[in-house]
Amino acid sequence: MISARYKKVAAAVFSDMFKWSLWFFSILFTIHLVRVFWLNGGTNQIEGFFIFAQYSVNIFMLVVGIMAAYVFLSRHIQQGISRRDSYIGTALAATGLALFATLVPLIVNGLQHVLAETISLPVELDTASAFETTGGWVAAAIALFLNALTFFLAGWLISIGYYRFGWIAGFAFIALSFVVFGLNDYLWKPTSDMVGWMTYHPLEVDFWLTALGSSTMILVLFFLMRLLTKRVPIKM
Amino acid sequence: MAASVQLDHVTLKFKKFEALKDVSLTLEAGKIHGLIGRNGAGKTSLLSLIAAFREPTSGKVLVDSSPVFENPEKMEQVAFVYDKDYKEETEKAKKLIALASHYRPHFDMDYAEHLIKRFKLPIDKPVNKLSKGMQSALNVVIGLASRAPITIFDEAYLGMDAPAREIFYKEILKDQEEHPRTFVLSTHLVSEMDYLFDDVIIIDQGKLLLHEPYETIEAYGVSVTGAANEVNTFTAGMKHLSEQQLGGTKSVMIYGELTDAKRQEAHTMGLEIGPVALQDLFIHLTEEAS
Repeated sequence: MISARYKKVAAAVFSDMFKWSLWFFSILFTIHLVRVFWLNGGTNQIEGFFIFAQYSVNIFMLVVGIMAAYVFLSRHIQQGISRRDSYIGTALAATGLALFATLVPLIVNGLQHVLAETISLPVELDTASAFETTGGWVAAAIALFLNALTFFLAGWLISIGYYRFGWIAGFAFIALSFVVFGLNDYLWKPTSDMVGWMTYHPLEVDFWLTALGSSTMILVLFFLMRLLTKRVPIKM
Repeated sequence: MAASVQLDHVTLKFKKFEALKDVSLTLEAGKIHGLIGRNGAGKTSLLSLIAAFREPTSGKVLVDSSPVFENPEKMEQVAFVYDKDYKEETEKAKKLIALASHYRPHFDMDYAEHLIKRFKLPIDKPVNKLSKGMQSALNVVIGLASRAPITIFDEAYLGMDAPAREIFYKEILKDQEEHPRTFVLSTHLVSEMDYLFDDVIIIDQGKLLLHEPYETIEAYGVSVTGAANEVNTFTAGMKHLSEQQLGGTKSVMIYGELTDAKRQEAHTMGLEIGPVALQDLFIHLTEEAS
């Protein structure tokens, strides 16, 4: 019985987040199609969906994180769920969402890649940079997953800051989230190049160190969130 | 299924403001408890502690003798229905009902559907588009159908019209017969709800004023009705709660029990002795305290 409660939370929270993500990906994919077929700038190479989606996926995860405390926390406690079960369930759901938000661009990009090789498209799609570098797509997927989860946690941190401490102290949490983004950039973007950072990191020792650093930061953020939600008074 | 609640020397402070001051009380399992207090008396603060929405500053809040805060088994037994702000709630009413059935182990969907019909609740509408009364009806449907062993309604009727409130009260009594649980009903519509209560708790300015079975409280006061002169003579020296006069007939509510001898005297004087309304006692007690 005890374990069933956080699973219930995870299932319900993931179901909500999943619906939001379907909206998000539908819109993102439409924009991508417009870019490929109409705003392609003539003969220039266009990035595949994976590269195209990365930045937006991170922002989407940030927004979902920002909504998390306000949408889910009060709801859970009012339904007789403990803060602990609410926390574990939400954390699991978010991890699942980060995984889903990594898989969708990966699969769409894969389909594009197959499509580009079998039929002739009006433009040249660069679906390769995520897939054809040595071990590149594994690295790219892991990187996107870790980034997506980090952005969710940054959002969640901001929302619990506002929820618990009000709007003035909430700004401190926004500042804290900038520290998180800064560290994240430091880990994943050693050059100041904004767009092509992923392709410069094929699978190698350097990548695994980065992934390890990123995972450590994620664990620290999860731990911090548990501390902040452990005894939080519920808004009415 | 019902559970009991114990508050043991509970104090709740918000910075310097003391919302509850050293409150100790036990809510017996399986009874309907009426929690009465004026605005700002501390009703919602007290209830939010039972629902583990927050921790007391000092003292203990127990459900069936175990602390309720962050205790998953105990928290699951408490359903706290309050006047929630639904301005931002864009989900449909049926989604919120489905959520309650997902989380509440004793949720009864057939009963929920029965209540939805009784209240004529439009479940396909987004909750923020519902009228205030319908939002309250939604809360009541969720609270009743959850069948939580401790069900708390904190002024859950706000915005409901009189017929809807009547349905609410009747459904509480009916369900209490078939599926007994511990109800806590907080209200200031005392005269309308007093017949529901087994026990009455009155709090004022964060302090417990009174906690008694309803019948005991009824005996705390009497109304004396008859010819104005006779009534005046009989009630001289007694504590008047209120007076009403119509022509030569006067009715006075007094605070305090009447001895058998006094009752006999009233009878011989041709005066009528009746019960006093809880509402009048409440007004008197809270006025006296402040």
